[in-house]
Amino acid sequence: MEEAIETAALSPDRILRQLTELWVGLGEQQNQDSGGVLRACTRTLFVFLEHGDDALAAGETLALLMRDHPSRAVVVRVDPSGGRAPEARVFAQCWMPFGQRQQICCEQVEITISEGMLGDLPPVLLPLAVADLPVTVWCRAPRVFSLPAFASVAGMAGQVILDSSAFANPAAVLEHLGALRGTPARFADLAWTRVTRWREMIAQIFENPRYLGCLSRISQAAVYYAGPRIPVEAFYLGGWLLRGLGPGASRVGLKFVPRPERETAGIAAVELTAPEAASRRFFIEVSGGAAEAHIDGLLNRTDFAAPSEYALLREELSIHQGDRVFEEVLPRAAELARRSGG
Amino acid sequence: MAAGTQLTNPFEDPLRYERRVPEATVVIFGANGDLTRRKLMPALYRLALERRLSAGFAVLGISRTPMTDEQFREKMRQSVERFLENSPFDAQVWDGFAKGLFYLPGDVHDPAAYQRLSQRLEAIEQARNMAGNVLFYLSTQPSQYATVAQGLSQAGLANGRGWRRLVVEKPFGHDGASARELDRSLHAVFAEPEIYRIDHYLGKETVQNILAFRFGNGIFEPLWNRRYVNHVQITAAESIGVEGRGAFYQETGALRDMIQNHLLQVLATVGMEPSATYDAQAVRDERAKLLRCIRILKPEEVEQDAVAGQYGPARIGGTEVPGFRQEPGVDPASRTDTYAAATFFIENWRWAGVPFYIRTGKRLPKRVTEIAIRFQPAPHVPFEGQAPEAPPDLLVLRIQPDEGISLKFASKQPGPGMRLRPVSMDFNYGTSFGERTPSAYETLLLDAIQGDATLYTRQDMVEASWRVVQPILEVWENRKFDFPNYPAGAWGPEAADRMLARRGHEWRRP
Repeated sequence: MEEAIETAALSPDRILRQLTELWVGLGEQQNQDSGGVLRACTRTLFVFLEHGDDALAAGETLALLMRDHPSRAVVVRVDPSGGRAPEARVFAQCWMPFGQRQQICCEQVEITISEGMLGDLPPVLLPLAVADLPVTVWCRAPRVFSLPAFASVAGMAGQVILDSSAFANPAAVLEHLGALRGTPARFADLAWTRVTRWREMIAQIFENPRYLGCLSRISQAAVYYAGPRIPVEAFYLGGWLLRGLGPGASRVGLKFVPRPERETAGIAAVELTAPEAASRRFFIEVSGGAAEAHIDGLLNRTDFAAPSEYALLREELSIHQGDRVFEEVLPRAAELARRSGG
Repeated sequence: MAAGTQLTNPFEDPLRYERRVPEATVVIFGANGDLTRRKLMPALYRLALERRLSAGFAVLGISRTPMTDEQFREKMRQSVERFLENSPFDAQVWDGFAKGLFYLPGDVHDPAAYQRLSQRLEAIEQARNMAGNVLFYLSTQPSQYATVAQGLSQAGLANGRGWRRLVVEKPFGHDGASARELDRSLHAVFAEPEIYRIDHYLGKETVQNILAFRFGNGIFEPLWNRRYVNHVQITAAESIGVEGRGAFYQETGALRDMIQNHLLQVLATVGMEPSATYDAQAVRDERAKLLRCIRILKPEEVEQDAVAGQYGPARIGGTEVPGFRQEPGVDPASRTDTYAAATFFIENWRWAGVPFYIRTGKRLPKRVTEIAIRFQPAPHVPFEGQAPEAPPDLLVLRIQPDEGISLKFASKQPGPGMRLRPVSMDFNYGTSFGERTPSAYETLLLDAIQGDATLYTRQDMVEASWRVVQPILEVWENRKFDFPNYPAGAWGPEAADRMLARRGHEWRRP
């Protein structure tokens, strides 16, 4: 069900009233359809898009996300052209789980503002946050994140999510994120989330005590990548490998190696070499939706689909505490990016 | 690094990844059986699909049927495709997983089979760079448990380079004496921490959620005692009959099949004291303590506080449904209980005087497992004639289906005057967490490989449960029942209603 109502100005009271009316309407519908409607909400999610951003893709991501993390979603579209009158509309995002007659619904509010209004937005958004539930800001627009006024918006949230791979200068973003450490909001980077599967596969190899034993003898590491420049994910993975190799990391030569034959940008393979150990070469390569781990002639193949934006957000929203590993890897990744001129 | 220091994997990140599974071989005895095909293999495949198994992970199946590795793999593939629930079948993942599946034909009574098993294990471990960890899973007749343990011991398989663990399925004995006898046989070979007794109910997410609900929140625990709780009802109802397992079931019955293990474990989870930590020892200590606090019924009390039932034929929705005695393989004069209900009291400060009613049965109106906690009514209700006669004051923990929690209370009906109406506040697992719930066997297999026995039953818990159930069994064995005493599709015999009515209570209609 969609209840779209336009307002002349951004009044939180009015938006809240419209939300109430929305539920009254859904309740009446419930009386007509015996299946009924169930309201679900576990957090408030503020989403920042830029006008001209791929609204359809963002909408699809949100629709999927609501099933895992039912939220009051407040989507803010920022129009860089000035003088635009603010608009707001409310509607319900509903679905019916397979085999059930009851609909599950989440609230969604869409607000369109001009860029100049961004600084005035927190007093409007704060009352829209559902009481006693966590508040997350997902900034999908790199330019909006860079605006000075965004800091006040981020200040409302317990968690702020961005994707540094969408930024023109990832090294600068990593530096900026590093500088934000210690602020009340917990920052999450979807570029780091994209590395989870790689990290998981590498960690799994070293569950074997035989391989773990030769970790201290690893002297060469390589992250292979595809695309015109070293992806920010590669810096994260490199920083994480160095963190894991511990005090001996200084002896490890870490290289970023291009794979021009690969079409899809991103990390293509990882290689760790310990020339003096019995198990000498650990090589993981991803191709065609599958990952192959080669360890001393033993091959293990698993599926490895590139994670969608939805899957990345789903992972981040499932984390309710500080990410210590990310905090420790971030300065290393920033340093690698700075050195590589990325 | 000092000699003997345990290396830790620096690439671990528990915040992000699922638990890692160490390299291990799972040896399944009874690999051609129903449990392997329906539950174990789909669960292991799911773990592979979610990348929780290590690269060298292997399964070695043993049973009497002659088969090659390839035939075993094909058979398991068909089973996984058929019995996999809520998951896609991915041929590529299967191909990788199947490379780690092996088969060895052998009879558990043949000592030579264990020698061949030893050689095969060695070869697999060499080929797959494994650390020598082995999980023996006994998916055989319980009467073969002792034989297998003995065979493993004689072939030197109970010890090795890595760890050795033994998983056994219920029933853990037919009564208290046979449970102790089985325990002696297993302990002659494996130490208690190496024995994992599966009670798949404890692996269910919603049963684990009882602990999260009770001990992860500050709201409910202050009410969780005799002062505020009037009584507790635990229901595990099946709408189906014995489904071709009549011959097995008539040797078991509802009391042994469900109450002695699953439902007493659920009761212990509802009633236990909080443990200081969430580890196997601490949690199981508290469960065991609770089980030991259950008052043992005297023979003269069994008549009043325990009810046996057996379903008879009925016509349901235009279909003739046979009674238990008409089921294939069942003795036409069978005295087996297909329904059992009992009232238990827990003799400790928290629960003294609070009845815990448990019922379970086959061919009841619907499939439902839930725990209902009825709170004390308000001491004085000022809305005379306007409030519901039986105010809800009820908390329902639904184990299956529609897993979730409901709080039912009275609310003012809109409009003039002060009329109260019962309303329900629902938390539904499916709507708050879109994630797929792992099956109990996925959880429990993963735990056993990880060495986490928190959700497994310990021998002292098994014995404490038999101590509770044994007096009822003894009275029932010497009593003549007028079976059948409830028609298929009904909520059990009338005697079960009378059992509650004596204390002014009545069964909920789930």
